[in-house]
Amino acid sequence: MKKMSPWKLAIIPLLMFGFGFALVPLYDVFCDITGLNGKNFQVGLTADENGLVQGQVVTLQLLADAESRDVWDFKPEKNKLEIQAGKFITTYYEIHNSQDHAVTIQAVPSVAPGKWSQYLVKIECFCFTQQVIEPHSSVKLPLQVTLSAKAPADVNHLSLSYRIYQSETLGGTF
Amino acid sequence: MSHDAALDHDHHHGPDKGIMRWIYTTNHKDIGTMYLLLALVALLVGGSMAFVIRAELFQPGLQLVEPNFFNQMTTMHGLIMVFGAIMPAFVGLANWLVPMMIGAPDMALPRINNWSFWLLPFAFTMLFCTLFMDGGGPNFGWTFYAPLSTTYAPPSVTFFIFSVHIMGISSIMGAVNVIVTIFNMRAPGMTYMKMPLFVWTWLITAFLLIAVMPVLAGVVTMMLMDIHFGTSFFNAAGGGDPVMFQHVFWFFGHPEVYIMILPAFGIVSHIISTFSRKPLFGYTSMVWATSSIAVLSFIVWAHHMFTVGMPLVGELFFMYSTMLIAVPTGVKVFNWVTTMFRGSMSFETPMLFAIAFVVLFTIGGLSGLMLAIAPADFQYHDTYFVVAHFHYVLVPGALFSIMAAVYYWLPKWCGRMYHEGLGKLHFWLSFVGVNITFFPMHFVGLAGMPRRIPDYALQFADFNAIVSVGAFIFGLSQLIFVYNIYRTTIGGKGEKATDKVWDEPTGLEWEIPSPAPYHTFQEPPVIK
Repeated sequence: MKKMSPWKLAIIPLLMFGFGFALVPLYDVFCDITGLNGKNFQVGLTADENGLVQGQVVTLQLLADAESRDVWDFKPEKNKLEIQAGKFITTYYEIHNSQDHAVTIQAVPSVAPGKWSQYLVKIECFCFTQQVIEPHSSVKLPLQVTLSAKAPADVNHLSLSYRIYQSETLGGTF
Repeated sequence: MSHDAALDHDHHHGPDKGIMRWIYTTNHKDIGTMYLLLALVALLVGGSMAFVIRAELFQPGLQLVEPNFFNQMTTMHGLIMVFGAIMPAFVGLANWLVPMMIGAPDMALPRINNWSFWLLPFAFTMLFCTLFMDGGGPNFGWTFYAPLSTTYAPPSVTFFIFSVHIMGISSIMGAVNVIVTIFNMRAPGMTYMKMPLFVWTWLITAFLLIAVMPVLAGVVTMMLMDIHFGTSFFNAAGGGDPVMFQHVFWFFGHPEVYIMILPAFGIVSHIISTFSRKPLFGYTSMVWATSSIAVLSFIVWAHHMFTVGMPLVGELFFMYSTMLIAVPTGVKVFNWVTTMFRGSMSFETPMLFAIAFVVLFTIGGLSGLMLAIAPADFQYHDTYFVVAHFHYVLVPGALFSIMAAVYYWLPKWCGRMYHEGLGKLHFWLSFVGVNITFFPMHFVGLAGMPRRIPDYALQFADFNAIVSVGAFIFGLSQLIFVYNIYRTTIGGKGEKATDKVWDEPTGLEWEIPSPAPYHTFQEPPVIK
């Protein structure tokens, strides 16, 4: 009878330990393929659609969210926009830091419905980099969006929401 | 060297004397005993924490403890019971029984066996000591969801992470040992389909352990890196995802649930067959059912997180795959009932615990089916209904089966019968206590009482008082169990057990004398 070696068996736990970490990128891949989780994996613009206004008009709803609303005053300039492929719309969010010290924030976007999230194209977004907000000051955070020309005809509405996270642990209220 | 071997054969080769016997031992029976004693201590410690919880919840309002300490109690109660009581108890039973059941002289890797036990006291001492550190112990629930357990955790969380690492290593080594023992050391003629069911269920459990304990180690390592090394696995500000923590955790967590119940299925199968004086009905289907439950356990994890905002397709997939598990589980329950059907049954303490297991575990399974219904789960999620559900499968499920196993095999281990009257008293107090404790939790849960809270709305007051009284009855009645074991083993009271102990039980462990000699099956037995 062939004997089972414990060393061979030990390969399984080692592989599974690696698999635990591999789950992290795998979830992103899974979300990319299925369009789950509202992650904004953009299909991007093609050269010929630049500047060419075409296709359906879609309502884009803008939302803002931050914990401790008494500390952060975070809101979009407009709650609703009409977007169309090739038409670049610039708007902004406004944030006020009512604390006594400067804070660095990171905005994390989420697009709903998830299956259409890839058709919202952000050309410029304050969420691409971290922002430093001085104490007791307001900052206008710019955003430029458009709709992808690849958006199918049944796309009739999109919601873009931002959540503000403070990126250092020290100082300020989340 | 042949001269030495002959010498060893001549004089009695027994255990060392004193404490060194236990520190150096590589004997599967000694290590099994130590595992079982560790589990008993953990049961009493975790039980005391449950006493704190139930005393605080006896009345609405805050009477005894601060909310933060209450949270530490719920967290530590869960961790200690899962990792300190139930799992080590099953490993202890495996150590004692697997070699004796397959006709092997010992476990395949005796020194690893010693090490995997001796890691545990250190892991649990470290975990327990967090309670006395600045900021207190873990207070984020036994499921330690990030970022509650990373960004918002007390500083002692690092010690919690290390203790999970250590107990994970211990479990993996124990599981590798069980698999290698079963694969390599069966007596000649014992084919896989002749193995006793306890061996089968433990073999499958061991595979679950080596598959998912490393994932648990991985998820706590990610937490460690988030806390100390500036990564952002679960920190949204850095591009991480808190929901991913739940996915990775429950990928470990759901198979873990079956790790805690599959060996119980094996134990109950042995006991019901013996006291019904019939062979087990449907042995082959039992093996297949256990395997299917193990395979299915890997694809149902997200039923713990129906409310995180999954798409409909996901909810349906996890709902149907979860419900599918009821099929093999149902096969098992019907097999046990059919084994009892027209059997010549008698109701010694192990049998009482086994029958209570079948009935009460099934209640826990049925409430599990209710929770599996995704739309209904939105109401049940994080309420006392969930608490009732998993306590029904873990207390009168896993814990009752462990107690049944101890009563059933104790005479073989120590050579004396336990006190049957005290055993029956223990059973009935436990049975009544467990139901008074956990049944009303269904009602308060459906009425909307959330879990993990130190205070609650007034309309839940009466049921909570009843639950607390039940918990104290159940908890205190375990002292009878402790006394009964003490009396039989160290006290040396009770009549001497025969080699068979019970009325014609089947299995190799009943072919050796009672008490089981320090070394058994030096020569492999003949399997008929």
